[in-house]
Amino acid sequence: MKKLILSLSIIILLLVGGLSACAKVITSTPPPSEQVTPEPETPAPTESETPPSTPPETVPTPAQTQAVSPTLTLSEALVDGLKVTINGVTLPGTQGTTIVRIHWDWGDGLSGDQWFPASHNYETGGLYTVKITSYQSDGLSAMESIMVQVIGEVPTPPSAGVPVVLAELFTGDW
Amino acid sequence: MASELGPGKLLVLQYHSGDKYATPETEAKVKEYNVKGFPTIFFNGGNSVVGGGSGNYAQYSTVVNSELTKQSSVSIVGAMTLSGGTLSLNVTVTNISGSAITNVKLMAVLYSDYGTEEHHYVVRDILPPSNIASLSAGETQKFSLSSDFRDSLSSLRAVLFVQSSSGQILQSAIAQ
Repeated sequence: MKKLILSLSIIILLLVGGLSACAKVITSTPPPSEQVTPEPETPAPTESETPPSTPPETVPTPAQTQAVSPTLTLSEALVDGLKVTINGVTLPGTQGTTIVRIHWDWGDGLSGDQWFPASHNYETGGLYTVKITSYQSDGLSAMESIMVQVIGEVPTPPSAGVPVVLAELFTGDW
Repeated sequence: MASELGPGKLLVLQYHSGDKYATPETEAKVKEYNVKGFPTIFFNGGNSVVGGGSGNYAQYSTVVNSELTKQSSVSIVGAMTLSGGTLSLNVTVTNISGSAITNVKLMAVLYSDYGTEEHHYVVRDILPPSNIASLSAGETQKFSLSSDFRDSLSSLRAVLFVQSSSGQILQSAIAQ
């Protein structure tokens, strides 16, 4: 009987001790080294992998300016004999940029850079298409074209007194 | 003949009447020249020849060559410019003869070349005449003329001529 009582006491003591040990494990805080080492087998999804419930809102900042082409407005071409002068206005479209050059293609095979007002002397009369391109410091540009009619000066008669005959032809539907 | 001689010797204007190329100005010109039938051609304001075609070439040539032997009493220098749809002509007329010229008028006629054989010199506008009451020997007078005619500007040409009160054309020139 004594043996039985002793055995039961030992078992009870072992059970109480085991429960105390389990309770201690559960409530213990892991040391700092343990917080980083055991990675979970399935890593928690990162922020980028988590689909947002609503699209992210883009808030423009002052540094984010939209690139806009320059504006280019031409005035009427002034024609004086074989000389053509064109004025106009060009303004940068993108904030913080400048107009770096204005390129002129005069339509007679000649071209070059000039600021407003630009002039050009044609060799001969004719109808020309002038293409003007304004370049901005961020590389954007704007192009406009204008047609100019240049009519050459009539040369003085080759020798004084030599007539040019005028034939006036009347025709119709009588 | 016009292409054969070139604009340095012969200029041509075609005044139409009663067809789609006619204008009030060309119809008035028909009355002014008292044209009785078509075609009729005037050389330097006179020497009229009624009838046309290659059969008249010799007749035309005789008249033109005769006119080319005459000394002109005036010279004409002109420049034509186009700005904003307005055609402007700056013309200088000089008396190159030894005596005064009186009572003449400077005429400016615009024509278009429509590219077809019989429509190279179709008159589109006749500007009001500029009267020159007197032009002494060696004197130069300058004129500024304008037209708001808008059509086929690329092929528009201007013929300038000085015409006496009797209708004789003293000299002509082309601006193009």
